[in-house]
Amino acid sequence: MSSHAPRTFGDDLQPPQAAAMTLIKVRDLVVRIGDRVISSIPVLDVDPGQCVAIVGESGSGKTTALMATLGLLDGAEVTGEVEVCGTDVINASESRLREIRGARAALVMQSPRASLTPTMRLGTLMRRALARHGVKGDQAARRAEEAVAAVLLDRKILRRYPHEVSGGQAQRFAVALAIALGADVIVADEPTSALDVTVQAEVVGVLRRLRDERGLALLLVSHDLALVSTIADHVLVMRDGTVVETGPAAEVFARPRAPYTRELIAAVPELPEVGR
Amino acid sequence: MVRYLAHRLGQAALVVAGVIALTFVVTRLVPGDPAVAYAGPKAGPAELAAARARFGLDDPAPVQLLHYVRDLFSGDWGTSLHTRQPVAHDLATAFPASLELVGTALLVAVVVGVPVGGLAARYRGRGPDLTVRVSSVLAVSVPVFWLALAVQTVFASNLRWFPVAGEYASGLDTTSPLHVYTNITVVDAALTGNWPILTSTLGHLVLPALVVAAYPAGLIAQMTRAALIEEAGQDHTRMARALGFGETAVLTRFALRPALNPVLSLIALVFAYAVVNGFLVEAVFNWPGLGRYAADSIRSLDTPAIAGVTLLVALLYVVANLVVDLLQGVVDPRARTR
Repeated sequence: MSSHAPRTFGDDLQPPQAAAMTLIKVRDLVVRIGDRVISSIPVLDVDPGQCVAIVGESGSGKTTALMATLGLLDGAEVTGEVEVCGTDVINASESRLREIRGARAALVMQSPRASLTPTMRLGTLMRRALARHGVKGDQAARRAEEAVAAVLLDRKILRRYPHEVSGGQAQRFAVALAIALGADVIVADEPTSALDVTVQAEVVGVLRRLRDERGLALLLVSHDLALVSTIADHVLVMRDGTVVETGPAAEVFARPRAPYTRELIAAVPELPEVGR
Repeated sequence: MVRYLAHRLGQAALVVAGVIALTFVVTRLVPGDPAVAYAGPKAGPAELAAARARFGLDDPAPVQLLHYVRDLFSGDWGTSLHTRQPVAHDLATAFPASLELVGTALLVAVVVGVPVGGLAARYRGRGPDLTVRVSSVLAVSVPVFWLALAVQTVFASNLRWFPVAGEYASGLDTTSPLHVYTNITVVDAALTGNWPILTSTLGHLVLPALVVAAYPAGLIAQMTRAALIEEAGQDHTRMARALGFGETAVLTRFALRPALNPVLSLIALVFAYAVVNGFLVEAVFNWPGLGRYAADSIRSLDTPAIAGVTLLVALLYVVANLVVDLLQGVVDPRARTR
């Protein structure tokens, strides 16, 4: 652990012993803008079929850390070690990063409809994304239909524009993009915060099912502890750019050790059952 | 799309009605008596009365407006006081050359402005961006008549790369007479395979078209750059990067189309401006367009001709806006729901 590592609670800051299958591996990640550290994560591992959530209030550095895993931070200095599906994200060439983005690690963003190109039919967007990663023609059409079916959407949605679908449909389509591209990891930034409660449950249900059935790994950022408690296996709690507590979700929610975690949990009226 | 089209056509019809009414009022406010202008300064009371009766100038204003609207729709735009020809005929003769010049200029402005603005956005803050920004500010700032005189002096008079003035070489009317269909020389020459006139006209078009294109090209480049930079920061372009697309692909395949919306609005705005700018350029390059006709009409206080030119430019503006509205509906499906 580097000298700048913050005081944390829990024992998961040490690298796990067996991490042969780890899809996202972060060690001593520090993101700086100028001299200011805006996000740092000493240790983070996401294995297949596992959901790891980064929680914290707005401005705590969780989205920055998430974007750093895909090498999508502009104007920031990123140091440490970030490995996604075996690729060293910090030192890899831009062309190598473009190969893994989407095809191995896919992003689901906070604003579902705003994250889809407004002038493009959803089917066109999916076809372009598939073509970018070498899947074309009938195979692309088949994959697109299978993917939208996997997130319980009608294939007619492929002919619609983003403004013609609901927020929940758009978010499930974003997940379908990841499935179509064959991603091993979904990196999701507040994937339900722009949705109403019933639609949130739909999207979480889809993510949970994909994790369970397909062994998809999820790295989730959220300030919604109720959501996190229903899906996450492991939790990192961030405040002011540093991790203040980490551990299995059930343990963190049942016996929070950091005062800040206790404050966060106390602010939630009643947490649903934790985990799967 | 049909509903969108009907809505936009309805709006355009309302604007046209407003433009006609405004043109009528403005022409009645022009100083001087059209009857005197028509009958001449030495005309007696009887001749003036005849002229007033001929143009219905003694009728009440609402009646004059009704007659004006009726005549407009029946193709009678009045008779020019200085050419003694129907204004509609004069406009039909002079306007195609202006359309040829302004149309070519706008085509050049779009073909240059959009890619150049895209280049600036792609290399924001770097050499190409700085070059484009400085060039576009220059293009927008330089007065059009000065630019016209400067390029004419340098490239026509001194270097002799292009003809100095006119629409095509004067002798060609005799050696290769042009069959007129549309009154747009380039189109007629291409349709009839009149290559001498076609090549000569294209050569004569280069300098005036580039001069008229400078201002809209500068604006279009700046707007394209700004719109692309804004789109490049949107969530959907971040998503495109997260799907594995490189920056050039993100800009050209994802950001460009949404960014074209404000660019199209700008093109409609600069179209009418380019027509009027074109009048000055026509004067410098002796281009046989609407500019000379408009100038002569103003000098001779030719009210029907002034009204005709004003109405034509206003209608062009309405049509340009309508075309842009429809294009926006095609380019961006969200526009159809607005």
